[in-house]
Amino acid sequence: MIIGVAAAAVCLAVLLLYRGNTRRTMRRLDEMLDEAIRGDFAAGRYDESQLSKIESKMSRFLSASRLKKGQIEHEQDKLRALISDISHQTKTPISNIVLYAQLLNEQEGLPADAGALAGQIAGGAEKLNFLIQSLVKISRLESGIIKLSPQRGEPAALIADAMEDCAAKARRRGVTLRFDAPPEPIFAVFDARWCAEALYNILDNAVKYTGAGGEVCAVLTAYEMFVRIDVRDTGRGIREEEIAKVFERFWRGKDSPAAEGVGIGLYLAREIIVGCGGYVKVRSEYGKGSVFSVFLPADNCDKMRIANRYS
Amino acid sequence: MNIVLRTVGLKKHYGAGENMVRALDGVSLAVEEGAFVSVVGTSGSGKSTLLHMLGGLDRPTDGTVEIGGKDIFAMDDDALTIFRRRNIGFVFQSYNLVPVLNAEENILLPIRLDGNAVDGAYIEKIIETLGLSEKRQSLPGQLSGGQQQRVAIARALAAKPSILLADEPTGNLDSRTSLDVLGLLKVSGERFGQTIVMITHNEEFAQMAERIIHIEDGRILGGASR
Repeated sequence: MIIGVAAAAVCLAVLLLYRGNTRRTMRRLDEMLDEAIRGDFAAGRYDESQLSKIESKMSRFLSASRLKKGQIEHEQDKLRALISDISHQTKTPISNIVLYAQLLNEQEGLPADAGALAGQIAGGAEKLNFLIQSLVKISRLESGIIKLSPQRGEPAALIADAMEDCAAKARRRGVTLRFDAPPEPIFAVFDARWCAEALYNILDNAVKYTGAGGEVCAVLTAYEMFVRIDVRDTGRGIREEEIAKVFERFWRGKDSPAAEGVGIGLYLAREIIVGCGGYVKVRSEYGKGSVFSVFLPADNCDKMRIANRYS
Repeated sequence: MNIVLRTVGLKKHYGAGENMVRALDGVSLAVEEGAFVSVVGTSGSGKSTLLHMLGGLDRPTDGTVEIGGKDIFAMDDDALTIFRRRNIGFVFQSYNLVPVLNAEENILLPIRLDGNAVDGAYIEKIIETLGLSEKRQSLPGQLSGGQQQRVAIARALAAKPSILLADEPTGNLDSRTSLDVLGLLKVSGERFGQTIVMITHNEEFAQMAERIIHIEDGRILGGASR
């Protein structure tokens, strides 16, 4: 009887001890994972216990993945350096080509068709220049060299500026630009310099695909969380199957005018808008025109702190 | 890109013989991690059935659904319930908020239910992104429809699910508010690296997504892979 009670007591004690042990181990494992997630894990003790073995293994695993991460960052740095080299080193030769093609064109006694050829060279060189500059901008945005700094501002001013930059081209093409600013001032949060570029690219695209006599107009509306800028054109519109692709890099419509554009403006525009915490959307009817809508975060203190994807 | 969600030959038939309804009739699709996909179709096209299958709310007649490489219907009901709670966020047309809890408590509810510690910084970011900082103490009854749906989205994101499934999330909202809510859904999806599958019958809203899947009579008409 007494032996039985004693045996039961011992069993119970062992069981409790075991359970306590397991719980402690689990707790330590949980702690270790938390430390690893925070990035301050260090193997705490060295003895013959299983836990210590696990700690050592974990720290080995973590340092291996840290090493890998370091390698990747190093590769990225090299890539960035290469990109800025490309942009820097191609600048002079390209401007030389443009310059000499112009000088060639101004030579007296040049055969008639030589002038046209020189013009082609200059045009090609300018396109190459634009392409390289855009690629460099994109890669700087994507790799985080350029940080967007969204601040409170009036999108109306943004639209007016971008329209001014587009005005000459629109006039040349016989396209009317229109923007009726709403009577009440509307505020949004955006990076003024980059968003001006984004909006310019969208307007430029609209002008490009709208024929003489057409109209491109901008409409500004305030929602609760976003401010919406619509750019409507009366151009050729986009085929339904192509709508999803217009923001893709290097994508160009099947019936785009051959000479113009490289398919990068809208892609860059979307990257910028998304980077500011907004989004873009397009609606189009083939043959009738398109509406590109830019949504920028509306101004409320919440959004001031919306760190964007590039920061 | 990683494929986070994959269905192979998914079928759901109701009834038998001549009365058999093929709600889903062999749907195969793959969704990449971090993508925003919309599923459009008329009512009765099978899009809601598809969403229920993707979320493990209903078992298919045939075919598989893999989430993160795991065949979800190979699990028993209990395991599936836990898997769903930890990996899938839902947003429905009706917001399903608990009326006696304020916005913040509603957002935290699923995490508390799972007995997990709350990742305060993460929740803070979600509340901020969805523009709810000033509304956190408000009860659902004091919020507009758009705000209530934003709380529902925040609640779905709070548990860091690998996929967010939205069934007509703006069905009860006017078109202005809808664009607001969908914009935030899109922006927060991008910000928190969420994969989103949204069902809608509205073509305009569908275009917010990077990819549109058309479904009709239980079959995919286009957009399954891009």
